[in-house]
Amino acid sequence: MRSIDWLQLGLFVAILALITKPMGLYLLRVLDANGRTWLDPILKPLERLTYRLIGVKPDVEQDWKGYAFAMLLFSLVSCLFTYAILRLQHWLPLNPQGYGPMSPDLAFNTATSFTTNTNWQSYTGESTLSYFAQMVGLVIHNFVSAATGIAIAAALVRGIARHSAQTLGNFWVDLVRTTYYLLLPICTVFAVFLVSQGIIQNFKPYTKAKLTETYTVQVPKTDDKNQPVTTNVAVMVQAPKLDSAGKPVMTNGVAVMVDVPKLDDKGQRVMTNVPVMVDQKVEEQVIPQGPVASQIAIKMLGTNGGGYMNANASHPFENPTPLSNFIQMLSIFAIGCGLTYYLGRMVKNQAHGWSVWAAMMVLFLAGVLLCWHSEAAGNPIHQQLGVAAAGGNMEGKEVRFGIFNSALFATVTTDASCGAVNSMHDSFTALGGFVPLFNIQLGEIIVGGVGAGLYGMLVFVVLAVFIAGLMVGRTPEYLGKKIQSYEVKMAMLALLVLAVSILGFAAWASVSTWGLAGLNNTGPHGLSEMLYAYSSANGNNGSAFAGLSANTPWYNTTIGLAMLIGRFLMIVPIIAMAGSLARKKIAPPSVGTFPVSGVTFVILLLGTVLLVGALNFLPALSLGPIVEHFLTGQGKLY
Amino acid sequence: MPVPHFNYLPALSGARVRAQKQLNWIERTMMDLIFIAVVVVFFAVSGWYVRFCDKM
Repeated sequence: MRSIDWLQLGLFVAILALITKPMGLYLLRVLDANGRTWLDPILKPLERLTYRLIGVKPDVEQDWKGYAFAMLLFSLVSCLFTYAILRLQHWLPLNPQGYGPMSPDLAFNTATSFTTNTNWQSYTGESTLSYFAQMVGLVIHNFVSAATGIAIAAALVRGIARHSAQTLGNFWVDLVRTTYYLLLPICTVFAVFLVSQGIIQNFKPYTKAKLTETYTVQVPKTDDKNQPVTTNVAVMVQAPKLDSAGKPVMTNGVAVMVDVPKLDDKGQRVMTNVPVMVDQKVEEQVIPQGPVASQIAIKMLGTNGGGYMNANASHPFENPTPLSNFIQMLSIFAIGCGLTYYLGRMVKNQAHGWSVWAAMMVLFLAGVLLCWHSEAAGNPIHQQLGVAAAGGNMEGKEVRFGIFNSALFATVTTDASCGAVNSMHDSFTALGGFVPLFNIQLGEIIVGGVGAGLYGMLVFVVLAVFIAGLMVGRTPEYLGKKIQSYEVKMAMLALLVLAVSILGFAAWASVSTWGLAGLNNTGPHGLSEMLYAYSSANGNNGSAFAGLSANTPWYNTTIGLAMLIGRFLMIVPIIAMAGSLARKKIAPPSVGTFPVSGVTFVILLLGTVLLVGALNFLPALSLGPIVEHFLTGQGKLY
Repeated sequence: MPVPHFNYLPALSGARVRAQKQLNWIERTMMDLIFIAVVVVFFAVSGWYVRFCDKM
């Protein structure tokens, strides 16, 4: 844990604090249908034209049901639109590599993934998708799914701020204004900055480079018709080695095992077909090209996380310099932090906004420090053997970024619902991997996804206020509004949907053939891989623990469903809660009103978040990363 | 030194590519219809869920 890394962490938090207010003030203008920005001369005509084309009356607001139905309808249509592009990309333009269509299950998984702002990727972008599919099918979703999240957060804040109101705003207006006035302008500037750092932006066919050091790989042999050549071989099984007397040969009390042919009931050898493998010399490397910078800008700012390349933010074309790495991390948190300021302004209690921000920062710093410390401490077995030369756990990490920047990136990307990665979380130490997993399971409310983080945290605020009310024996109030059974039911529904879906799908996968077939690691680490996959899907994070072969019809389908459940079945009760809060009168604060700012409130909020997270997930985590941590200390690896 | 290869590319594994090619267009269309139906049914259920939350 070097001093330069401490300095970078301090700088990161300081810059976040500095950009929170200006971002919040700008969001106030963008999320006000009549708000004025300096971009009005350029974008106002485009905004008006868009409303005319889609038949929206921007002055007409919607109640919570209208808002929810509009959001669901938009998501349904855009999901099917992307599914069609992915299945028909071979007939569409901008496909210089001639890629064929995605398989139906993978297209379903990918379409739901980008619709829900998850960006879970069971495919390799650079070897699966055309430029058209990347730009039209996926990047558009990066904008509109992020805008949808911000719109929902704005609707909830309006519900809290308004007095005896029936409406929450207009979903279409929020969607259009957020996309045009917030995401597009910032991403345009951001993409140019990323190009200046070395990220590519072109439509060239992929290029080939001659390798200076050739190497050989084994590939299946094919015949004249390009069909794989197979051979018939005996199936081998392990059996104890026997001595001349027919007794098992033992070494240190353990039977020595040897390979023997498997026999059927009649004593005949069981045979099977296996592909014939041949050596292939690799002399050149294909270097992907494409419109990368434009995708990376929104991928980070919109907390989408889906990489253009499979290696995501560890690829030099996606994240070439220390500065690009730092700015990308900041951009993940930028809008989420600004929204806490927006909350404070809207409810006319700026201290409340800053208190929510402070609670997020405490959880963020706790996560970074635990993850960083675990990775810097490294693998205890390596330490015992004296081979820990890297000064920590460098497995799965990009040497350019090192331990601190990998731990920081992993924490940031899972605090938010981003999911971009610059290291392989699967290769982290058990406790290092626990941090991103638990971050996601808390609901990604530590700054969180754009919009999603704020509305998730406000659910916890409602619960915290409710618990405080119960403790002092008064009717709970939040900013002058009585928290009654309906709000608590909706808050609990939003939280329980997430927990039930994560644990239900992970439990199903862990006892089924299709689930276990995808594992590359056994024991608690294997469970962590499955738990992470469904946590990431339900939390709409999109990062993968890796180590799990998830591109199978079962995984694609169940993860696709988990993403839909985690997004929409959580949002609906939150908008319902917003509608209920909007209808309430605002009572003036009294002696018994629980203050929603200050240290006491922050501690209560943190306690609520951690308690709910622990109650929901600690049993599962105990069987995964926690037990793995203790077993690693005893010299067992998985 | 060449970088060791990880199996990042299950989508491109020989078995999967062969299986994909073996599906005829009727099977693929059926699968498309099934997945489109899954999406439509999910959002229909979500619409019902809005009413459920309203009546709760």
